[in-house]
Amino acid sequence: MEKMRIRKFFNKLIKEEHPRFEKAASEDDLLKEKQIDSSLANTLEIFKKIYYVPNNSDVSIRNIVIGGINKEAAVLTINSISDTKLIEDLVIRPLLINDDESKEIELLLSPQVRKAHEIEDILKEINSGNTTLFVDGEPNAYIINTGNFQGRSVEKAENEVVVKGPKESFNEQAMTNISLIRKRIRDEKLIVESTTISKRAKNELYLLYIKDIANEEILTNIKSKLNSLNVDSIQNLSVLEEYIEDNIYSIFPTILYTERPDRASEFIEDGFIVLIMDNSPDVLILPATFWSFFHNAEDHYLRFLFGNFIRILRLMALFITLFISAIYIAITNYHVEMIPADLLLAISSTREIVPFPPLVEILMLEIAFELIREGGLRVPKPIGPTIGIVGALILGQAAVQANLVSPLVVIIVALGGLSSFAIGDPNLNYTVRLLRFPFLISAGVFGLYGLTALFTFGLFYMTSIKSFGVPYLAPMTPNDSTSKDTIFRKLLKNEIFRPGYLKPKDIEKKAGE
Amino acid sequence: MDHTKGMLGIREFFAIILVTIGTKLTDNTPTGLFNEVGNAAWITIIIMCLVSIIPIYLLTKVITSYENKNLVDIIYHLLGKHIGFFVILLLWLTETYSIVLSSAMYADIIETMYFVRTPILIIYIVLIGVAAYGAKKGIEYIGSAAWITLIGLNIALFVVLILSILQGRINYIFPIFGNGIPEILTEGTTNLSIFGEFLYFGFIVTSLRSINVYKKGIWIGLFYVSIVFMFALIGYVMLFDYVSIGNLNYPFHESIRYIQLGFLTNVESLFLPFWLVASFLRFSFYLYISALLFGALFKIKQFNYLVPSIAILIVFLGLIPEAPVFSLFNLREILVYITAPIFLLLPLVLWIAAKLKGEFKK
Amino acid sequence: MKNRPCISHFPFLIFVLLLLSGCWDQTNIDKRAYVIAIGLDKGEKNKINITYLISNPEFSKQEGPSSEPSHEIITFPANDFISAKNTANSIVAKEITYNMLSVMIVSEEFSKDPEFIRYMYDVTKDREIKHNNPLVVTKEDVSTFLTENKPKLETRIHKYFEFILENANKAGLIPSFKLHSYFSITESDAGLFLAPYATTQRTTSGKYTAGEDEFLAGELD
Repeated sequence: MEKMRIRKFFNKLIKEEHPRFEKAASEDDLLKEKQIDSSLANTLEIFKKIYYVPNNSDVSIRNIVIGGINKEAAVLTINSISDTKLIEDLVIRPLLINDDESKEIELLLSPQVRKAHEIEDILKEINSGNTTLFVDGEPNAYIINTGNFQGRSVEKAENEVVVKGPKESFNEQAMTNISLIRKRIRDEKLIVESTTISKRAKNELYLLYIKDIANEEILTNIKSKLNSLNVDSIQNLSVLEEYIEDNIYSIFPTILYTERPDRASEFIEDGFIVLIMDNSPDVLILPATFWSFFHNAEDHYLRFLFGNFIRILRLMALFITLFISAIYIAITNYHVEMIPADLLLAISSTREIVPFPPLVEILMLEIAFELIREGGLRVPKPIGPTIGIVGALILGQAAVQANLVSPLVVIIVALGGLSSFAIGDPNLNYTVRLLRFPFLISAGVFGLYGLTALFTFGLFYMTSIKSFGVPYLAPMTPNDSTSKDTIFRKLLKNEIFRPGYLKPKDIEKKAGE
Repeated sequence: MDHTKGMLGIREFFAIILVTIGTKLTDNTPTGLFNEVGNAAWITIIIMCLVSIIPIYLLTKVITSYENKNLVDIIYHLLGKHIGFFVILLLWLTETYSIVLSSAMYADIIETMYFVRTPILIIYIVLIGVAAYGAKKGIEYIGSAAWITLIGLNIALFVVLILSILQGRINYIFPIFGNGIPEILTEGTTNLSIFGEFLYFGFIVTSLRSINVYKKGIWIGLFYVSIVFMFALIGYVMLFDYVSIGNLNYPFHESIRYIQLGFLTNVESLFLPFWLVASFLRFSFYLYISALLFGALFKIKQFNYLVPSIAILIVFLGLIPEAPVFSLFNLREILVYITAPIFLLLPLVLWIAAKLKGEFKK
Repeated sequence: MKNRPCISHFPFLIFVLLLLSGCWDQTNIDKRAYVIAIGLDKGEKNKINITYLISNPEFSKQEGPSSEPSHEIITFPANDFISAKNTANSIVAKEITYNMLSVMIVSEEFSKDPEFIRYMYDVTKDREIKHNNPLVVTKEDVSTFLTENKPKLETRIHKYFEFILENANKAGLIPSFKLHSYFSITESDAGLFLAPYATTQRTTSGKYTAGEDEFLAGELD
């Protein structure tokens, strides 16, 4: 609903310009639906027109004469995205040096040659870096795989760092990413389904799931959502995320985003569905519950006790980030009796010289911390380390000496800020950092009463969120006795069921036998 | 995908039972008991629990013999349209009356014990506002929220109970029978309204995953609540002795003000959030039931849209009594005497009607 | 479905508005004067004399104690000690609070007054006075007791009362002393509440009971 409204609003805004674009597009579309004819000159004319050839510098057309059978031909390719050496070896040289009159063209070329008739299909191939060979007198084109997009290789994961366990991460090439997953799941039932999701840029999206595990209902739900997309271009998954989310305005994320192939494969094996796209160094996993954001790949790599230890730490970090400054405000303003006497006097004496009310004081420092954090993130690498948290602490020290804030507040804010780093998932991290502020204000207004009221309010809200039909806090509540991996992880030999809230076709992991 | 289809499982159901009935030990319900039977109040809970078994058994018997019908449908089915309407109206009135009273009392607790200078209206609006939001969302979310917080609530409660028993004096619980066995017996039956809410759980039976959830949940809930209630009353009396406790309006809050937790001498603010969460959840459930009954009376299918209106009504009604500590106590007495007979008799009537109609033979 | 957001946002906004107009009970931690001990003496004409021992937070600073004294003692007449909180503000600048109260002291003379229990019941009316605070009876007037009593080592006065009462109780020199037991014993109408007895005056009589250790268990009866 929301999406429609936004679109309508934007349509209204650009109404005047819109018809012109539409016309241009429709003319092009007409051309694309045609098939190529046997006249080479005609065909080339059409393609030159589509590609604006003399102006479009990296589109190259080479006219050649095929040796032996003496036919005129043209090779059309986009230089920047194809491997020129490969074209030379696989296409041009075999054709030129041929002297056998009876040989068919297909046999001259490399084994992976395909034929195409429709202009639209041919365009798609050229746009993905493949080479097209037009031969005079033949109503089809030959397509040879020569695509070579530039990109980085498989590198170490940067955001989801683990100490123990695989270090590989996805890169921007969908095929590499799929191969990283296939490397982990050698299962013939692992399906890589591809669909085109945008109208003009023709962005390709790959859906990965295991056929005999993933639930059909979720799958059709996702597919219908993807098919209903009506946009020119979706560059990558981060953008797609917003298009397919259930609650765009919700503060809680409902789609998991990971750069680790091991994590993605783990989810696929549990019956989740993974989306992969070119240009995204990560994958989308859906449906996602709160726990999938809370968990970390390392939880299961570490030994049972240690894994749970870091889970506890993370839970503590979550609560500290959310509540510590709010609790400080609530206690110092409303529930003073709770503080042990010595600390009370110490706070009182250091606060005496601070000119601002505590709420303003702590808000100031919180915002400063967020600013330093955001600024530190965007700082160019060479000067990065000098700023950052060290800078924040120095700033805090100076602020204390200038009587702007009291020392305890610096401790509180720094503790809350540092704890927030323990929450690995970037989406959940933002959620927690943002939620801190409403809690802070509610505590400033009503003390612990306001804090608890807002907490309960949030709890009601959180239990009512659904991600592709799956309740957000499943499997904790609504409870099902299948997967118990929520706050603590269980022994691997006891985790014998796939999460029941997904309704997988095969619920048992058969690990316990 | 959600195979539970928004249905409550046994854990959520159990959590709702605990939150709605368990929180009663934190308001002035215990005071009433202590005033009547002295330090034997905890024995009355056992009596109450034993007496309650009969109506709850009859009710479960009736409810389980119907599939996919909640108590509203059963009442209409067994008692006919007109008497059924009257009975449900009566239930709705007592239920709404009890929400008004108890929410006014809770607002009063917050005001007198923690936020002395805040206007009661504001406290009340926040209390009912949050509860109404939950009730509007629906029973499955109340259940979920209750289950998530249940562990924390229980831990907090047990810490309070253990501390008060440790820091109390064991000889305060003697004489065991307090004001005498006859007193215990009469009070045990007249104060049955403490467990009166068990009637209302029949209304959400169609929101449960299966009838077994209801059967199991209600028995486990009854015994668990009784045990916790019993320990709480023992804890209070050990801490305050029975005379003082009659003067304290809110013994739970007085005990968390008294007990010490290691180096923390004042821990009441530590337990306040847990108690508040439980109260919000409790009123959410009450509001939901009230809306459900009202919807049942006037055939309104999407009754959750009634919640905001009922919530506003309750806020204004709850603000009427002045000097809440005393007036609420007296008004509560009235409620006690109305609810107890309903709780005892309605299941019996339903059971007899069902028996006469031959429902159990199927 | 379409206009649901509008409807559901509206009450939420009101809710937020109410929330934002709050801050009634708020008092900043540094704007309070923390009373460590309350003393009650018999005053003139049905009034009572209230003595406050107020701690000086300045003394807890890390940079070391400043030239200010560690605490201040004020005495003034009042009707009861609920209203005394406000009366005290004619002398003390900050808002008086009992949050840190560690002892209530009553003079012997006042505790023998039949009206005493009436004043003590005010304790139950003030939510800041916890029932786990100790109750001590002094031989002389409380105001004299507090001014005369100068612990040499425990200059942080709140610690002094806490430690001395706790350890004296452990050693068996003084009985259990909670305000709470005062109420419960008085209310149950049969018992005898024993309070710690304190004084700053040296007893001149100097009569020691000979052989005070030479009892067998139960011999006193």
